Amino acid sequence: MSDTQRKKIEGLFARHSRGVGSYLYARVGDAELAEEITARVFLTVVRKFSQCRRSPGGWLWSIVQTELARHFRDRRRHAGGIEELPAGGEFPEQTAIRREAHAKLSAALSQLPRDHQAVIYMKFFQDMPNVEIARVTGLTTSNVGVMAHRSLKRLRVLMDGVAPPESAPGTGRSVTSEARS
Amino acid sequence: MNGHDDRPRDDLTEGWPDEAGNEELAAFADRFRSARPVLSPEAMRRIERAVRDEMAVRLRRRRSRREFWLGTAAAVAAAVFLAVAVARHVRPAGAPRVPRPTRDSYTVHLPPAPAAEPPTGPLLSLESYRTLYME
Repeated sequence: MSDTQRKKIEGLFARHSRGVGSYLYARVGDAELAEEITARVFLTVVRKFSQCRRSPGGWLWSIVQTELARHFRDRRRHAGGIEELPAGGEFPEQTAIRREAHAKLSAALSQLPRDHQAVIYMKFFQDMPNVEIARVTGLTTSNVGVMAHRSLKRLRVLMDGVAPPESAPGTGRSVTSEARS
Repeated sequence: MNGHDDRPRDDLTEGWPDEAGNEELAAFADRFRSARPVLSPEAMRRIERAVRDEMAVRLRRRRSRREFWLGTAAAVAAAVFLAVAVARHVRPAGAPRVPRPTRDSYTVHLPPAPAAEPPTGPLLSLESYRTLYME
């Protein structure tokens, strides 16, 4: 590994590690697991950085997906995962509420199509502007905005049980139907 | 450390198509972003330490490989230098060189041999020395 590569990896880590950890936590619902998978993601970055041919952000996302897929595959093999311990100073009720919220978020994210997951990851976990998301994913900037909009509507239905209003775009008139699960 | 929460709300609705219900959806987007689970600073430090340890191992490996080849090249250069110095010592500069054998050839011109004169008489007078061989 050269010093140049080391600096690039450090930059990638500084820019993206928090978002990767947060996204993985949202997907697996367990802090220890999320930490373990995040570490594996960045160790893979260190070991295989010479293979990064395209945008580092996009390459990092592909590693995140690979490690997530490996986690879910291994979890199916060894059913009965680790029970998440309560966070320090947390009441049991708070732990249960937190777990339920994480489970709902994890389930909702896993139901999105893969390209929508990428946009949600980059927009809401990496705080990337649409133009950067477009460069990484190959979509146009306007497509990114539309996809983010659609993904959020879907997430809202999955998480809050709120169906989107049926109306013509921009008319201001809407018939809102709320279907709560 | 999480400066993301200060981002203006407009960024979350960037590029959205103009639809009814966008206000509520924007509020959901805000809640969604605020409710992101975040790994603790200690967890992030552990991850960073693991990454730095791995990078240090790879950097050391690369440096030791470079040092190995530099050392090998230096050893070869030293051996060549030593061989040249020894060779010069065994045959110091200025020692007389053994000349290469030379071959000289000369063309000798011999005068022609005088022609032999034919005998004018017998070489020996046998009558004069008769007493030597007659009984």
